[in-house]
Amino acid sequence: MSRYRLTRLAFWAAVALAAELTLLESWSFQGARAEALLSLACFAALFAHDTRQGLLGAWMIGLFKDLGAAGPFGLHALLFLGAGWVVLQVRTVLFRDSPLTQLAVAFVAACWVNAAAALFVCATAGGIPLGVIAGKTLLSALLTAGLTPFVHFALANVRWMTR
Amino acid sequence: MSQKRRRASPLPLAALSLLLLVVPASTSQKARLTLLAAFRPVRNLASASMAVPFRILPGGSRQEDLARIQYLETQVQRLMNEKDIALSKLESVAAARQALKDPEWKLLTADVLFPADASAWRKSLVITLGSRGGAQKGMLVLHHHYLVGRISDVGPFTSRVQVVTDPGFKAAAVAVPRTYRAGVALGKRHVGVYEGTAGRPGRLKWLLGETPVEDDATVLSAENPAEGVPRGLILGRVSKVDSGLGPTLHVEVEPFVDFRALEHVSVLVPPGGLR
Repeated sequence: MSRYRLTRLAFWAAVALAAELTLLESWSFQGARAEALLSLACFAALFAHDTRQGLLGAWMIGLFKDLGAAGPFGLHALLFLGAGWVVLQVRTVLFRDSPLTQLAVAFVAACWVNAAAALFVCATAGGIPLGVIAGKTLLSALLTAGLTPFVHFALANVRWMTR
Repeated sequence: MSQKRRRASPLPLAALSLLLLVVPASTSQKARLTLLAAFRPVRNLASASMAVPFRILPGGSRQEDLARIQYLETQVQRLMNEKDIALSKLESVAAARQALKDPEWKLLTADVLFPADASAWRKSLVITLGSRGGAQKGMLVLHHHYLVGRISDVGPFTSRVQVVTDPGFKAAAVAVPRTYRAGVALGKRHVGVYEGTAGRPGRLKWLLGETPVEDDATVLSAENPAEGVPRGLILGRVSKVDSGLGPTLHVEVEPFVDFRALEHVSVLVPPGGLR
Protein backbone atom coordinates (compact mmCIF):
# COMPACT_ATOMS: atom_id res chain seq x y z
CA MET A 1 0.00 0.00 0.00
CA SER A 2 1.25 3.46 -0.89
CA ARG A 3 2.43 5.62 2.03
CA TYR A 4 1.83 8.85 0.13
CA ARG A 5 0.26 10.48 -2.89
CA LEU A 6 2.43 12.58 -5.18
CA THR A 7 -0.11 15.44 -5.27
CA ARG A 8 -0.01 15.73 -1.47
CA LEU A 9 3.76 15.61 -1.57
CA ALA A 10 3.74 18.47 -4.11
CA PHE A 11 1.68 20.55 -1.69
CA TRP A 12 4.12 19.89 1.15
CA ALA A 13 7.02 20.67 -1.19
CA ALA A 14 5.52 24.15 -1.80
CA VAL A 15 5.12 24.62 1.96
CA ALA A 16 8.69 23.42 2.57
CA LEU A 17 10.01 25.80 -0.09
CA ALA A 18 8.30 28.75 1.58
CA ALA A 19 9.60 27.57 4.98
CA GLU A 20 13.16 27.20 3.67
CA LEU A 21 13.19 30.68 2.18
CA THR A 22 11.77 32.39 5.25
CA LEU A 23 11.66 30.59 8.60
CA LEU A 24 14.56 28.16 8.20
CA GLU A 25 16.70 30.88 6.61
CA SER A 26 16.16 33.12 9.62
CA TRP A 27 17.20 30.20 11.87
CA SER A 28 20.29 29.46 9.79
CA PHE A 29 23.56 28.95 11.63
CA GLN A 30 26.83 30.26 10.12
CA GLY A 31 25.02 30.58 6.79
CA ALA A 32 23.88 26.93 6.77
CA ARG A 33 20.25 25.97 7.16
CA ALA A 34 18.16 22.82 7.49
CA GLU A 35 16.95 21.68 4.06
CA ALA A 36 13.28 20.83 4.47
CA LEU A 37 12.89 19.92 0.79
CA LEU A 38 15.70 17.39 0.99
CA SER A 39 14.09 15.83 4.08
CA LEU A 40 10.91 15.53 2.04
CA ALA A 41 12.79 13.95 -0.88
CA CYS A 42 14.31 11.38 1.50
CA PHE A 43 10.79 10.60 2.72
CA ALA A 44 9.65 10.22 -0.90
CA ALA A 45 12.40 7.68 -1.57
CA LEU A 46 12.23 5.79 1.75
CA PHE A 47 8.45 5.40 1.87
CA ALA A 48 7.64 5.02 -1.84
CA HIS A 49 5.32 2.25 -2.99
CA ASP A 50 7.68 1.41 -5.83
CA THR A 51 10.84 2.71 -7.51
CA ARG A 52 8.88 4.77 -10.04
CA GLN A 53 6.97 6.67 -7.36
CA GLY A 54 10.14 7.24 -5.33
CA LEU A 55 12.11 8.59 -8.28
CA LEU A 56 9.26 10.78 -9.46
CA GLY A 57 8.72 12.13 -5.94
CA ALA A 58 12.38 13.00 -5.37
CA TRP A 59 12.70 14.57 -8.84
CA MET A 60 9.54 16.64 -8.41
CA ILE A 61 10.71 17.96 -5.03
CA GLY A 62 14.02 18.89 -6.67
CA LEU A 63 12.08 20.92 -9.23
CA PHE A 64 10.43 22.85 -6.39
CA LYS A 65 13.89 23.60 -5.02
CA ASP A 66 14.93 24.86 -8.47
CA LEU A 67 11.90 27.13 -8.51
CA GLY A 68 13.34 29.18 -5.65
CA ALA A 69 16.96 29.08 -6.78
CA ALA A 70 19.05 31.27 -9.02
CA GLY A 71 20.95 29.36 -11.69
CA PRO A 72 19.82 26.76 -14.20
CA PHE A 73 16.54 24.93 -13.80
CA GLY A 74 16.90 21.19 -13.24
CA LEU A 75 20.11 21.11 -11.19
CA HIS A 76 18.48 20.22 -7.88
CA ALA A 77 16.01 17.94 -9.65
CA LEU A 78 18.98 15.96 -10.97
CA LEU A 79 20.78 15.90 -7.61
CA PHE A 80 17.65 14.91 -5.68
CA LEU A 81 16.98 12.22 -8.27
CA GLY A 82 20.48 10.83 -7.70
CA ALA A 83 20.02 10.84 -3.93
CA GLY A 84 16.56 9.27 -4.26
CA TRP A 85 17.85 6.54 -6.58
CA VAL A 86 20.62 5.56 -4.13
CA VAL A 87 18.12 5.45 -1.24
CA LEU A 88 15.78 3.27 -3.34
CA GLN A 89 18.64 0.87 -4.08
CA VAL A 90 19.56 0.36 -0.44
CA ARG A 91 16.22 0.72 1.30
CA THR A 92 15.56 -3.02 1.36
CA VAL A 93 18.34 -3.35 3.91
CA LEU A 94 17.28 -0.29 5.89
CA PHE A 95 14.80 -0.10 8.75
CA ARG A 96 13.08 2.98 7.39
CA ASP A 97 10.87 3.63 10.44
CA SER A 98 13.89 4.12 12.68
CA PRO A 99 14.74 7.79 13.36
CA LEU A 100 18.43 6.86 13.27
CA THR A 101 18.10 5.47 9.74
CA GLN A 102 16.23 8.60 8.63
CA LEU A 103 18.86 10.79 10.25
CA ALA A 104 21.73 8.95 8.56
CA VAL A 105 20.04 8.91 5.14
CA ALA A 106 19.33 12.65 5.33
CA PHE A 107 22.90 13.41 6.45
CA VAL A 108 24.49 11.51 3.56
CA ALA A 109 21.98 12.89 1.03
CA ALA A 110 22.56 16.47 2.24
CA CYS A 111 26.34 16.03 2.00
CA TRP A 112 26.01 14.76 -1.58
CA VAL A 113 23.54 17.43 -2.75
CA ASN A 114 25.41 20.34 -1.14
CA ALA A 115 28.86 19.25 -2.28
CA ALA A 116 27.72 18.59 -5.85
CA ALA A 117 25.77 21.87 -6.02
CA ALA A 118 28.81 23.77 -4.68
CA LEU A 119 31.06 22.29 -7.35
CA PHE A 120 28.52 23.21 -10.02
CA VAL A 121 28.30 26.81 -8.76
CA CYS A 122 32.12 27.03 -8.61
CA ALA A 123 32.30 25.89 -12.23
CA THR A 124 29.53 28.12 -13.58
CA ALA A 125 29.15 31.23 -11.39
CA GLY A 126 32.27 31.93 -9.38
CA GLY A 127 34.72 30.48 -6.91
CA ILE A 128 33.72 29.52 -3.37
CA PRO A 129 36.52 29.05 -0.81
CA LEU A 130 37.10 25.41 0.14
CA GLY A 131 36.61 26.16 3.84
CA VAL A 132 33.18 27.64 3.13
CA ILE A 133 32.18 24.58 1.07
CA ALA A 134 33.32 22.11 3.73
CA GLY A 135 31.89 24.02 6.68
CA LYS A 136 28.52 24.82 5.16
CA THR A 137 28.08 21.33 3.70
CA LEU A 138 28.69 19.64 7.06
CA LEU A 139 26.62 22.12 9.06
CA SER A 140 23.75 22.00 6.62
CA ALA A 141 23.85 18.18 6.59
CA LEU A 142 23.76 18.11 10.40
CA LEU A 143 20.83 20.54 10.56
CA THR A 144 18.95 18.62 7.84
CA ALA A 145 19.60 15.34 9.62
CA GLY A 146 18.29 16.86 12.86
CA LEU A 147 15.09 18.01 11.18
CA THR A 148 14.40 14.84 9.19
CA PRO A 149 13.10 12.42 11.90
CA PHE A 150 10.45 15.00 12.89
CA VAL A 151 9.38 15.57 9.27
CA HIS A 152 9.25 11.83 8.59
CA PHE A 153 7.38 11.10 11.82
CA ALA A 154 4.69 13.64 10.93
CA LEU A 155 4.36 12.50 7.32
CA ALA A 156 4.37 8.80 8.13
CA ASN A 157 1.93 8.97 11.02
CA VAL A 158 -0.51 11.77 10.23
CA ARG A 159 -2.61 10.13 7.53
CA TRP A 160 -4.26 13.23 6.01
CA MET A 161 -0.89 14.83 5.35
CA THR A 162 0.15 12.37 2.70
CA ARG A 163 -2.92 10.38 1.56
CA MET B 1 -0.57 -10.95 -0.14
CA SER B 2 2.72 -10.15 -1.77
CA GLN B 3 2.83 -7.16 -4.06
CA LYS B 4 4.82 -7.09 -7.23
CA ARG B 5 7.07 -4.05 -7.07
CA ARG B 6 7.67 -2.15 -10.26
CA ARG B 7 11.28 -1.26 -11.09
CA ALA B 8 11.91 2.00 -12.90
CA SER B 9 15.02 3.53 -14.35
CA PRO B 10 16.10 7.03 -13.31
CA LEU B 11 17.56 7.66 -16.77
CA PRO B 12 14.52 9.32 -18.42
CA LEU B 13 14.19 11.80 -15.55
CA ALA B 14 17.96 12.35 -15.48
CA ALA B 15 17.92 13.03 -19.23
CA LEU B 16 15.04 15.49 -18.76
CA SER B 17 16.97 17.25 -15.98
CA LEU B 18 20.06 17.52 -18.19
CA LEU B 19 17.90 18.93 -20.97
CA LEU B 20 16.53 21.54 -18.56
CA LEU B 21 20.06 22.28 -17.37
CA VAL B 22 21.28 23.28 -20.82
CA VAL B 23 18.41 25.72 -21.26
CA PRO B 24 19.80 29.15 -20.25
CA ALA B 25 18.67 30.18 -16.76
CA SER B 26 17.33 33.49 -18.09
CA THR B 27 14.82 31.56 -20.23
CA SER B 28 13.31 29.69 -17.32
CA GLN B 29 13.67 32.44 -14.71
CA LYS B 30 10.74 34.46 -16.05
CA ALA B 31 8.39 31.50 -15.59
CA ARG B 32 9.95 30.68 -12.20
CA LEU B 33 9.59 34.25 -10.95
CA THR B 34 5.98 34.35 -12.15
CA LEU B 35 5.31 31.13 -10.22
CA LEU B 36 7.03 32.55 -7.14
CA ALA B 37 4.70 35.55 -7.35
CA ALA B 38 1.96 33.09 -6.40
CA PHE B 39 3.44 33.16 -2.88
CA ARG B 40 2.67 36.87 -2.63
CA PRO B 41 -0.86 36.33 -1.25
CA VAL B 42 0.60 34.04 1.42
CA ARG B 43 2.95 36.81 2.49
CA ASN B 44 0.05 39.25 2.69
CA LEU B 45 -2.11 36.78 4.59
CA ALA B 46 -0.61 37.60 7.96
CA SER B 47 -1.24 41.33 7.66
CA ALA B 48 -4.68 40.75 6.13
CA SER B 49 -5.66 38.49 9.01
CA MET B 50 -5.25 41.51 11.30
CA ALA B 51 -8.29 43.04 9.63
CA VAL B 52 -10.67 40.18 10.43
CA PRO B 53 -13.53 41.99 12.14
CA PHE B 54 -14.20 40.84 15.66
CA ARG B 55 -17.78 42.06 15.34
CA ILE B 56 -18.79 38.80 13.65
CA LEU B 57 -18.49 37.17 17.06
CA PRO B 58 -21.88 36.23 18.46
CA GLY B 59 -23.06 37.78 21.73
CA GLY B 60 -25.02 40.57 23.37
CA SER B 61 -24.57 44.30 22.82
CA ARG B 62 -21.84 44.68 25.49
CA GLN B 63 -19.85 41.86 23.96
CA GLU B 64 -20.38 43.44 20.55
CA ASP B 65 -19.05 46.77 21.84
CA LEU B 66 -16.01 45.08 23.36
CA ALA B 67 -15.38 43.22 20.14
CA ARG B 68 -15.71 46.47 18.18
CA ILE B 69 -13.20 48.21 20.46
CA GLN B 70 -10.80 45.31 20.02
CA TYR B 71 -11.27 45.47 16.26
CA LEU B 72 -10.62 49.23 16.18
CA GLU B 73 -7.54 48.80 18.38
CA THR B 74 -6.25 46.22 15.91
CA GLN B 75 -6.91 48.58 13.03
CA VAL B 76 -5.03 51.40 14.80
CA GLN B 77 -2.10 49.04 15.38
CA ARG B 78 -2.16 47.98 11.73
CA LEU B 79 -2.16 51.60 10.55
CA MET B 80 0.70 52.41 12.94
CA ASN B 81 2.68 49.51 11.48
CA GLU B 82 1.97 50.72 7.94
CA LYS B 83 3.10 54.22 8.94
CA ASP B 84 6.33 52.80 10.38
CA ILE B 85 6.97 50.86 7.17
CA ALA B 86 6.32 53.97 5.05
CA LEU B 87 8.67 56.02 7.25
CA SER B 88 11.34 53.34 6.99
CA LYS B 89 11.04 53.35 3.19
CA LEU B 90 11.26 57.14 3.15
CA GLU B 91 14.39 57.06 5.32
CA SER B 92 15.94 54.46 3.04
CA VAL B 93 15.24 56.49 -0.09
CA ALA B 94 16.48 59.72 1.55
CA ALA B 95 19.74 58.02 2.56
CA ALA B 96 20.21 56.58 -0.93
CA ARG B 97 19.45 59.95 -2.47
CA GLN B 98 22.13 61.56 -0.28
CA ALA B 99 24.73 59.08 -1.51
CA LEU B 100 23.89 59.72 -5.16
CA LYS B 101 25.55 62.88 -6.39
CA ASP B 102 23.55 63.04 -9.62
CA PRO B 103 19.89 64.06 -9.06
CA GLU B 104 18.97 62.40 -12.37
CA TRP B 105 19.15 58.92 -10.77
CA LYS B 106 15.67 57.62 -9.92
CA LEU B 107 14.67 55.25 -7.13
CA LEU B 108 11.83 52.74 -7.15
CA THR B 109 10.81 51.06 -3.91
CA ALA B 110 9.97 47.36 -3.66
CA ASP B 111 9.10 44.89 -0.92
CA VAL B 112 11.16 41.75 -0.40
CA LEU B 113 9.07 38.66 -1.13
CA PHE B 114 11.70 36.04 -0.26
CA PRO B 115 14.91 37.17 1.46
CA ALA B 116 16.91 34.07 0.48
CA ASP B 117 17.78 31.65 -2.30
CA ALA B 118 16.73 28.00 -2.22
CA SER B 119 20.27 26.98 -3.16
CA ALA B 120 22.77 26.97 -0.30
CA TRP B 121 25.47 28.34 -2.63
CA ARG B 122 23.64 31.17 -4.34
CA LYS B 123 22.67 34.40 -2.61
CA SER B 124 19.63 36.07 -4.06
CA LEU B 125 16.35 37.56 -2.98
CA VAL B 126 13.03 38.03 -4.73
CA ILE B 127 11.42 41.47 -4.76
CA THR B 128 7.89 42.49 -5.65
CA LEU B 129 8.85 44.70 -8.56
CA GLY B 130 8.86 43.30 -12.07
CA SER B 131 9.14 44.54 -15.62
CA ARG B 132 5.64 46.02 -15.37
CA GLY B 133 6.84 48.21 -12.49
CA GLY B 134 9.93 49.39 -14.38
CA ALA B 135 12.56 46.87 -13.22
CA GLN B 136 15.25 45.87 -15.70
CA LYS B 137 18.03 43.33 -15.63
CA GLY B 138 21.27 44.89 -14.38
CA MET B 139 19.71 47.60 -12.21
CA LEU B 140 21.29 48.05 -8.78
CA VAL B 141 19.33 47.46 -5.59
CA LEU B 142 20.01 49.49 -2.44
CA HIS B 143 19.00 49.62 1.19
CA HIS B 144 19.67 53.13 2.45
CA HIS B 145 23.09 53.79 0.85
CA TYR B 146 24.22 50.17 1.16
CA LEU B 147 24.49 48.14 -2.01
CA VAL B 148 22.28 45.04 -1.76
CA GLY B 149 22.92 43.63 -5.22
CA ARG B 150 21.93 43.70 -8.86
CA ILE B 151 18.76 42.52 -10.60
CA SER B 152 19.66 39.30 -12.40
CA ASP B 153 16.27 38.19 -13.71
CA VAL B 154 13.02 39.98 -14.26
CA GLY B 155 9.49 38.57 -14.31
CA PRO B 156 6.31 40.56 -14.94
CA PHE B 157 5.57 41.10 -11.22
CA THR B 158 8.74 40.00 -9.42
CA SER B 159 12.49 40.16 -9.92
CA ARG B 160 15.44 38.18 -8.60
CA VAL B 161 18.27 40.22 -7.07
CA GLN B 162 21.77 38.76 -7.07
CA VAL B 163 23.05 39.79 -3.64
CA VAL B 164 26.60 41.13 -3.21
CA THR B 165 27.58 37.93 -1.35
CA ASP B 166 26.67 35.70 -4.33
CA PRO B 167 29.73 34.06 -5.94
CA GLY B 168 28.62 35.47 -9.30
CA PHE B 169 28.53 39.10 -8.12
CA LYS B 170 31.45 41.27 -9.19
CA ALA B 171 31.93 45.03 -9.03
CA ALA B 172 34.80 47.51 -9.11
CA ALA B 173 35.42 48.77 -5.57
CA VAL B 174 37.81 50.80 -3.44
CA ALA B 175 38.72 50.53 0.23
CA VAL B 176 38.58 53.95 1.86
CA PRO B 177 40.89 54.18 4.89
CA ARG B 178 38.92 55.38 7.89
CA THR B 179 41.69 57.69 9.09
CA TYR B 180 41.54 60.09 6.13
CA ARG B 181 38.23 59.33 4.56
CA ALA B 182 37.23 62.90 3.71
CA GLY B 183 38.75 64.96 0.97
CA VAL B 184 40.52 62.20 -0.96
CA ALA B 185 39.45 61.71 -4.58
CA LEU B 186 38.23 58.12 -5.07
CA GLY B 187 39.53 58.05 -8.64
CA LYS B 188 43.10 58.29 -7.39
CA ARG B 189 42.83 55.17 -5.27
CA HIS B 190 43.69 51.68 -6.30
CA VAL B 191 40.53 50.09 -7.59
CA GLY B 192 40.05 46.36 -6.98
CA VAL B 193 37.38 43.85 -7.86
CA TYR B 194 34.87 42.96 -5.18
CA GLU B 195 33.24 39.53 -5.44
CA GLY B 196 30.94 37.39 -3.31
CA THR B 197 31.93 34.01 -1.90
CA ALA B 198 28.56 32.45 -0.91
CA GLY B 199 29.64 32.97 2.70
CA ARG B 200 29.01 36.01 4.88
CA PRO B 201 32.15 37.96 3.87
CA GLY B 202 33.00 38.88 0.30
CA ARG B 203 36.53 39.55 -0.94
CA LEU B 204 38.31 42.40 -2.62
CA LYS B 205 40.81 41.14 -5.18
CA TRP B 206 43.51 42.42 -7.47
CA LEU B 207 44.75 45.13 -5.11
CA LEU B 208 48.50 45.60 -5.36
CA GLY B 209 50.56 44.97 -2.24
CA GLU B 210 51.30 48.68 -1.66
CA THR B 211 47.62 49.67 -1.68
CA PRO B 212 46.74 51.24 1.68
CA VAL B 213 44.04 48.96 3.09
CA GLU B 214 43.42 48.75 6.81
CA ASP B 215 40.99 46.88 9.05
CA ASP B 216 37.56 48.49 9.36
CA ALA B 217 38.08 50.55 6.19
CA THR B 218 34.83 51.09 4.31
CA VAL B 219 34.60 49.48 0.88
CA LEU B 220 32.74 51.59 -1.68
CA SER B 221 31.67 51.02 -5.25
CA ALA B 222 33.77 52.64 -7.97
CA GLU B 223 31.99 54.43 -10.80
CA ASN B 224 31.10 52.30 -13.81
CA PRO B 225 28.69 54.19 -16.08
CA ALA B 226 28.50 51.33 -18.58
CA GLU B 227 26.87 49.08 -15.98
CA GLY B 228 24.91 51.83 -14.25
CA VAL B 229 27.02 51.82 -11.10
CA PRO B 230 27.53 55.18 -9.35
CA ARG B 231 30.51 55.67 -7.06
CA GLY B 232 30.26 55.76 -3.29
CA LEU B 233 27.71 53.02 -2.54
CA ILE B 234 28.74 51.04 0.52
CA LEU B 235 29.61 47.36 0.00
CA GLY B 236 30.89 46.63 3.51
CA ARG B 237 33.87 47.05 5.77
CA VAL B 238 37.27 45.39 5.67
CA SER B 239 37.36 42.61 8.27
CA LYS B 240 40.69 41.00 7.39
CA VAL B 241 43.73 41.92 5.31
CA ASP B 242 46.24 39.28 4.30
CA SER B 243 49.28 40.33 2.27
CA GLY B 244 50.26 36.67 1.72
CA LEU B 245 53.11 35.66 -0.55
CA GLY B 246 51.77 36.92 -3.87
CA PRO B 247 51.89 40.46 -5.27
CA THR B 248 48.22 41.16 -4.46
CA LEU B 249 46.35 41.58 -1.19
CA HIS B 250 43.61 39.24 0.04
CA VAL B 251 40.96 41.42 1.64
CA GLU B 252 37.82 40.13 3.34
CA VAL B 253 34.82 42.44 3.24
CA GLU B 254 31.99 42.07 5.75
CA PRO B 255 28.66 43.57 4.61
CA PHE B 256 26.97 45.99 7.02
CA VAL B 257 23.50 44.76 6.13
CA ASP B 258 21.93 41.45 7.18
CA PHE B 259 20.23 40.66 3.87
CA ARG B 260 17.93 38.07 5.48
CA ALA B 261 16.30 40.81 7.54
CA LEU B 262 15.46 43.10 4.63
CA GLU B 263 11.78 43.92 4.18
CA HIS B 264 12.03 46.55 1.48
CA VAL B 265 14.67 47.88 -0.90
CA SER B 266 15.16 50.63 -3.47
CA VAL B 267 15.89 49.93 -7.13
CA LEU B 268 18.26 52.40 -8.74
CA VAL B 269 17.30 53.60 -12.21
CA PRO B 270 20.22 55.28 -14.04
CA PRO B 271 19.54 58.49 -15.97
CA GLY B 272 18.44 57.47 -19.46
CA GLY B 273 18.05 53.80 -18.41
CA LEU B 274 20.61 51.03 -18.68
CA ARG B 275 22.81 50.88 -21.74
